[in-house]
Amino acid sequence: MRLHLFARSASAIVFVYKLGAVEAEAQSPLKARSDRVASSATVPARNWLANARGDAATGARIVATGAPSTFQIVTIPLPAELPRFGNGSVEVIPREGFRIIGQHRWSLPALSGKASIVAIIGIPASARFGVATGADVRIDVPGSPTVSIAVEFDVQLVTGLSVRLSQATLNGRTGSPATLSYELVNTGNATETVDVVVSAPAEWNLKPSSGEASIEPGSSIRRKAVVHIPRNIGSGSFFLRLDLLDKGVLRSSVPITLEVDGATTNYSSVGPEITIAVARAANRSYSGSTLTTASIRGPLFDSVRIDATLSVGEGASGPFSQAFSRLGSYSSSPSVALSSPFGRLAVGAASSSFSDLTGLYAYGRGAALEAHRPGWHLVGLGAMSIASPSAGAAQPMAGLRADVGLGRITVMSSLSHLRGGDRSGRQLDAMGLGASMAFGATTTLQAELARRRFDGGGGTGWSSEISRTDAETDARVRITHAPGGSDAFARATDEIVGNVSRALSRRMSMIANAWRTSDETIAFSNLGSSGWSLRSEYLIHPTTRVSVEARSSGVRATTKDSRDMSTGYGGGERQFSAGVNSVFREFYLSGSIAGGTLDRKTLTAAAGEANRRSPEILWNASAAWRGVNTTAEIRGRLDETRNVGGEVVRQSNLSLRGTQSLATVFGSGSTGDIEVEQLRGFSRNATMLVRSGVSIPVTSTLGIKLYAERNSQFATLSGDSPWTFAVRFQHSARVPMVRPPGTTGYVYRDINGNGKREAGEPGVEGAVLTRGKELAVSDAAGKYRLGGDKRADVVLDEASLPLGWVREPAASADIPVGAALTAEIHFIVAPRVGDAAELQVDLSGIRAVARDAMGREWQATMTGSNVATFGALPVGNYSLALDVSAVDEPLVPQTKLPTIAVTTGITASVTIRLDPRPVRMWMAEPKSAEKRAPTPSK
Amino acid sequence: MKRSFKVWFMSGSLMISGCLQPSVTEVPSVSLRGRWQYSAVEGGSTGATIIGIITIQQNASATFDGSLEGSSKNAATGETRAFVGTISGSAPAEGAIDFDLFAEPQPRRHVGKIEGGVLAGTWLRLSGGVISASGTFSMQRLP
Repeated sequence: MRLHLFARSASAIVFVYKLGAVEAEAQSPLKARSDRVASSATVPARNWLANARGDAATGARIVATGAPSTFQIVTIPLPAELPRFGNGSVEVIPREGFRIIGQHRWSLPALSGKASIVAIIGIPASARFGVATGADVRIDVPGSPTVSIAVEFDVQLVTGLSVRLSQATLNGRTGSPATLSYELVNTGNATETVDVVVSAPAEWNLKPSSGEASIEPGSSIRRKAVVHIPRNIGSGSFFLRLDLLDKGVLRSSVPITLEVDGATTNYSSVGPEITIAVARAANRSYSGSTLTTASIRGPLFDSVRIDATLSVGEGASGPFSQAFSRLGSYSSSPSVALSSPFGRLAVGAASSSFSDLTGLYAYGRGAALEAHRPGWHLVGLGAMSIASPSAGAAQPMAGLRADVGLGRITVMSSLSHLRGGDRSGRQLDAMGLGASMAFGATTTLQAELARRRFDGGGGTGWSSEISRTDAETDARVRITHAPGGSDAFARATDEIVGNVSRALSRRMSMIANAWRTSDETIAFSNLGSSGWSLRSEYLIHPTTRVSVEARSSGVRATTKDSRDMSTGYGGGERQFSAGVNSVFREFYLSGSIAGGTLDRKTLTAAAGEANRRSPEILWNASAAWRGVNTTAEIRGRLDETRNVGGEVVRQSNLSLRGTQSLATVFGSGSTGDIEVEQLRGFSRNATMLVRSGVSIPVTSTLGIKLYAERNSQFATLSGDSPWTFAVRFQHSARVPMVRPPGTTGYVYRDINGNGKREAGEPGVEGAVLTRGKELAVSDAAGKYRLGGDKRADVVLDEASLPLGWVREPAASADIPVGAALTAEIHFIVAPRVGDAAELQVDLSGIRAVARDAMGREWQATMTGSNVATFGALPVGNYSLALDVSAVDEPLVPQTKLPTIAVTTGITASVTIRLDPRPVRMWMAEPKSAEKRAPTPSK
Repeated sequence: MKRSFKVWFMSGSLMISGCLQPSVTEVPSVSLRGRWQYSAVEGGSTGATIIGIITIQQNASATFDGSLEGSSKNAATGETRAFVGTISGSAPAEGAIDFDLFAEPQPRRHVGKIEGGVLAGTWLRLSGGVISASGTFSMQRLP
């Protein structure tokens, strides 16, 4: 007989109860089990199965449906033949992982009159999708074989596939690989099989870019993908994407930020880059011109860098010089500069500035030195001035400045002997003494006195400057008197300048300037200017800024003239302008309008003074769009004014520019650009310029640039403007450093927290380390090399570590890192002495601090009424400090505070017992006859 | 509100433009038309020299314009760069000239005298009203 019973539980569970035929027992595994159970029965009893008209309870099962982590109410029907008397029982026994709450065993008499029993069975969270046996109903009746009935659950499907990145942000350097480590986690209850596809910017090499992954429920798999960052890209953020596809359907997509450092600082032992370039330009009107340049730039060893340039070629002018500039080739004097954190030495083309009074912008052929150490600073120059037809023969010159710090005061002294050439008239012999003093952290007062001797005279110069700089304000006032003026290596003879910039609010800022200068040069007997400006900027939106500005300025110049017709001129400008600029996604918009008056004054002996004042309007507008591979820009300017002849002049400039990546045509890193510019109002006809160039990196070391320009400003005698074509071949090669950078070490996972790198503790790849301006990224073994000042600390950017990891203290170049762990402090408030009652104290005001051996501090937060938790502590030992002053009840630790040891694998925990201050009682004698109750006091 | 702003803005612009009316013009007594060898020296810090050729097309009135193609050499670094621009000016008095050279963001104002086919004088460059560079120049007429 086959019996199907249907019932519906409170949770709408449908079950099926089946009793198999006796004949089927011999074939049923369940039958065999029942027999074994029956054979163990010690008390034979009447076989109730025999009364069941030959039926047997073999092969029986109950089927229910439910999701993991739920409880299901299952109604289990009882056979009518089951006796409801005697010593037997019915029991529901859960299988592994399943739980039963409430009653699970019934005696036979308790089942009297019942046709079924109800069991509440919990499905474990780990239950897999499909049919699983959750419990067995065991019926024990003395004298009968034990009957076992399976309760089966049809476990519903739960999906939960997610991606965990080992680092929030990936880091790498140009020309180097970066490893993306990720983990696919299946928190569902069925096996997940997906295709993993990792995408990188076009032309980037990424392996593997795709693959299939099958993840069992409750488990995870780790994968890696290596992306090779091209050498010819700049610094910045780039984006990878990780997609999970299920039969072509996107299940999940995770963007990954890759921060690329394109600096040419030392990554390993790679030294300076030697670049040799040959550029040639030609057009059909002139024979060609060639310019060869060579440069060496980069680290020589440790933190010492070299920057050397040399050029050999013809002194090109006009269109060829323009073409060379556009190709990046410049004619320059040979020079070699070595720089380090301690200073800089330049040989060849050398220049130095000493002070406002002892010489600014002195240059020549020779050597310039700048050195600084804590407490002192040195500047020196020894050179020959530049010989030229206008300046005359080269003259020797030298200068020295020394600054020595004496507490808050810095004393400065300088000595100079400077020349511009034997016919230039530009010369200075000076000796100065000065000092600067800091007042507080924001204000500095500086003063200097110097004796100056120059061509045709001498005098005592003096200067003073007061400056104030803080987070919101930058203000300074400088007043200088330097006899001899700019022809004696000063800015001007007399100068007073004031600048103030101040942030008035988070959105608004103001800049004000005022100045007055007076100078005498070899060409001008009087050259002066004065004026003021006031500008205010307001941020009306995080991406949009508006500004208004008012300014007024005047200039006066009287020329020295050996003939009887002296010439003077000057003028002034008063202007009010308003502008706006905004950035919206890839778009940039800018516009401004300015209106005012323009004065031009001319003084000649023959005609006297002529003054002209004309109104002036200037319009400026530009718009740009910058896409990933393309940029486009349009820029326009219109200036309307009267020219010196009194005619209205409308001068306009309109330009269109665009750049386009040509990676798909010429390979990665190739770009092309074009520019079309029209000038109107500067000459009779409109001037048109067309420029175009292509840059192609043929290999990682060899590059070609092509350039073409047609510019009507380069008109030939016939008025024709021929095309000029230019090409530049460049070869670059890196050579090893003279010796490797100073610091080599490993970033490693300190598993045992002892701060020592030991076998079995793996390196951490992709960690970013800096020291000053030097930067390094650890390789796959965790190794790094870093230049910079050896005395400075190596700084580890913890953002480059896997999530939740932090740096641990270390005394060597090997840097231990580890997962930040939690630690807890449990507080127990002891009862008052003599008072057994539990003392209720609000401990939320407790401030607990953990301090490591290096003095770094971590603060705990109260996560329970008496528990303080440190959310993220590196492995190590910490001393504790408590501040209980904010707790209402005065408390003191019973004993010395313990240390807390944080190790992997367990949550560190310490207990601190706190004693309340004892309550003192006293009886006070009432002043009046009336007795008062005693007053307790703390 | 927006419309009234537009009306005010356009009206203001037109009023300012209306002020740009021609004034009295002067007639140059010397013809500047032709090609000139230009050289200029910057005093003070960089000592830069500029050499090039200026081509002038003289207008019927007192004004003239033209273009410069040349190069500048920084005395301190030895670096040579193209120096290309346009000029626009007038002759305010007999024998005197006053013109602007537009080859950089800020124009250079040149004032000088012409004598015997040689034009010489001084120049200034202003940045925001401040004298940022000054020097001397000379122009010699080319055949």
